[in-house]
Amino acid sequence: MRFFFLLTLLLLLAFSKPHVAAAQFADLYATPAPPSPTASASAKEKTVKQVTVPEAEQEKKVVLDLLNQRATGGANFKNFLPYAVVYAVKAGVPANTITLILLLPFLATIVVSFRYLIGFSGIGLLVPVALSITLLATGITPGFILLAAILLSSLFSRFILKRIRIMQMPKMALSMFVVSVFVVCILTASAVFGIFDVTSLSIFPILLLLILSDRINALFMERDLQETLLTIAVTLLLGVLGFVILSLDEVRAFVLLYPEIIFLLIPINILIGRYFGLRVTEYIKFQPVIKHGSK
Amino acid sequence: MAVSKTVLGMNARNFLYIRPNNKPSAKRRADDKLATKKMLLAHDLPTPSLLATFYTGQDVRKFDWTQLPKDGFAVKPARGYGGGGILVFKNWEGLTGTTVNGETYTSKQLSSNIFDLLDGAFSLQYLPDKAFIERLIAPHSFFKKIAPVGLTDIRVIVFHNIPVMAMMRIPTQQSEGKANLQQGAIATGIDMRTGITSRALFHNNFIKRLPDAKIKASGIKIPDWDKLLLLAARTQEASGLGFAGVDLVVDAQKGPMVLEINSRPGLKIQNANLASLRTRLERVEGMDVPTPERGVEVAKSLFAESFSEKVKIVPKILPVIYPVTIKYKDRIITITAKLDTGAYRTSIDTELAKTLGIPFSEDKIYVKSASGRAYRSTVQLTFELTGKKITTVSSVVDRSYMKYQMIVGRVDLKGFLIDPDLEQEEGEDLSDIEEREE
Repeated sequence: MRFFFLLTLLLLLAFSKPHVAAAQFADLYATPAPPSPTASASAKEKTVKQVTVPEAEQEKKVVLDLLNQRATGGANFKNFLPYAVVYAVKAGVPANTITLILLLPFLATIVVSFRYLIGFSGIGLLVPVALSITLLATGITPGFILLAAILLSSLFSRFILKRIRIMQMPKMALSMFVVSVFVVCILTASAVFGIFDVTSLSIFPILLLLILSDRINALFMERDLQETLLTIAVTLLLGVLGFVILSLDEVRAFVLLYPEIIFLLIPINILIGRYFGLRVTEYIKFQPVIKHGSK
Repeated sequence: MAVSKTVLGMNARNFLYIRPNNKPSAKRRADDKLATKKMLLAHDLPTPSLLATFYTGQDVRKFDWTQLPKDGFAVKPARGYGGGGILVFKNWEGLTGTTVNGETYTSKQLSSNIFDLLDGAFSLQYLPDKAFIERLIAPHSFFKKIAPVGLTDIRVIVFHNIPVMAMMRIPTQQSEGKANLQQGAIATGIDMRTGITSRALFHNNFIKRLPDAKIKASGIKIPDWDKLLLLAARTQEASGLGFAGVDLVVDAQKGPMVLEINSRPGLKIQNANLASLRTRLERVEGMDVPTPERGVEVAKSLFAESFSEKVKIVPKILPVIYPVTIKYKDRIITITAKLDTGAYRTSIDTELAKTLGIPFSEDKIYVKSASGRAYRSTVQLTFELTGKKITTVSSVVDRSYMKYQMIVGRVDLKGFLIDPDLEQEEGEDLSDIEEREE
């Protein structure tokens, strides 16, 4: 374990020089996108939405220019990672995608520390992370409207299908049928009444939300109501937290320019993985023993 | 040996105790109530007997519902979660019956219910499940007294043959008869040496009295404690789990029984005992105790509450002549009796039995005594000897010419020593917690 510590510490020291590039880089993301046909969506939402799609050719150039600030003077021990990123971007990998992929383990680590240090468990590791990305793709309001629609309709269909004597998989298919019809209705209503912009919505966020609502439904069956609501609340909280982190221009710029930062996650996760003390919530749960002192 | 004083949390429980000690195969069996039951029966461990098992729809269709016991039974899914899907019947009249909640079920409704269980309506992730019917537990009178509704159970955490910590879970009106702490059942800590409750916890607050039974929550002596501890340790050994929570109940006829086994026991037990499981587990780690019997000995000497030192485990020493209190219906009479280890049975005077109004039973017994051999009438007799309630069959004989109207025979003197040198004490000794049963 000590080895990892030393390694990370060395890496951090190597790149600890303040860099102006990050700030410039952040400006890139803040530049307004080409005007979209719907006027209702806010400017911020538009920039956020762009993050999940590959950037335009001219933007890519700016990214490369900025990356070149670090990737100069030949590859060496200090800057081989920026070189790797430049290589990937030049080869055609979208910079946005690289940033998001690099940020995934960060989100996972946040989910992990919520569970093992604080004691708030969401649904698994993947669901909160997937929710963050989904919200990033749809925007926060449309994302929650869709999630609520999917959740309510799947609960409703489950309630009806409970009385019908058929096997499990056909039941789930019927449930998906109800949800699909409902989602189409919601999307149509949104387009008609201008609740949110549906023009750029792809099927993949909806698919992710479907999986999420399926997991929530399973939770309702397995746990009591209080536990289920807490788990859902934590999942949504983690999803929103992840969304906020992913949509911060400064964070994205920093990770793209200093990809080494992800190595910090190794010692952090090893430390959390060997923490056998009490979680924050357990200090409350075991208040009687702690207060009276154990014998 | 340095041991950690911190409370055992989820992180430590899962990584330090469950993962290295509980094999996946043993965990899978513990999660399946039907597989657990079969394992218990194979190891000759007492558990409510199995009346029927349902693996397929065919089993349900072919089942003869009239063979179910009239005085009730319990229908359970093998892999239910948190007590879901369990139906408890208090009576069954061939083809219809009533549950403890007062609902009426016909055999048709019941079989449709079992179909739901097989479909996995209550199992995790809707996986297909098995179902079974087991005999109903009639709680020991002691547990009926402390919990008017529902079934009180005792959870013992056992670690490699050594019982480490125990609690009693008492259902309340609020918990709707369920021994589930989250739903409002009471948890009491238990002293491992004596089986006496130390304190009671209701929704994380300590309470002095049990709300339903209106009796003091601490100082209750659980009957058959040694047997319960040994059964818990033997169950853990048989289960293949190294770290297990064993749930026990005491049946009126059959005594201590295993209800279920948990491979991931809850940690709230630490609050009820005001003790850290981690400290206790570290203390016995790597002890390599060969048998459950030895494990119980270790537990009783290591995990005793400080008050248990005041409790006398030695048999009570009594003089030959001692007062006993006979109770029959609302009549109570205290007489001086002779504690006679030379006599096998207890016998009382005919006149005395008549004054109390105890009916003579049909059966006569054959008695050999100093006055010869004879058939004598008998009565069902309940009396108290220094606070211990004894129920026995006593012979009835004319003792009017004798000094004492009653002889207490050796079958009823278990747990006492008789010392002829001792003089009769004044009054009753009330300080003795050990003998108190309330």
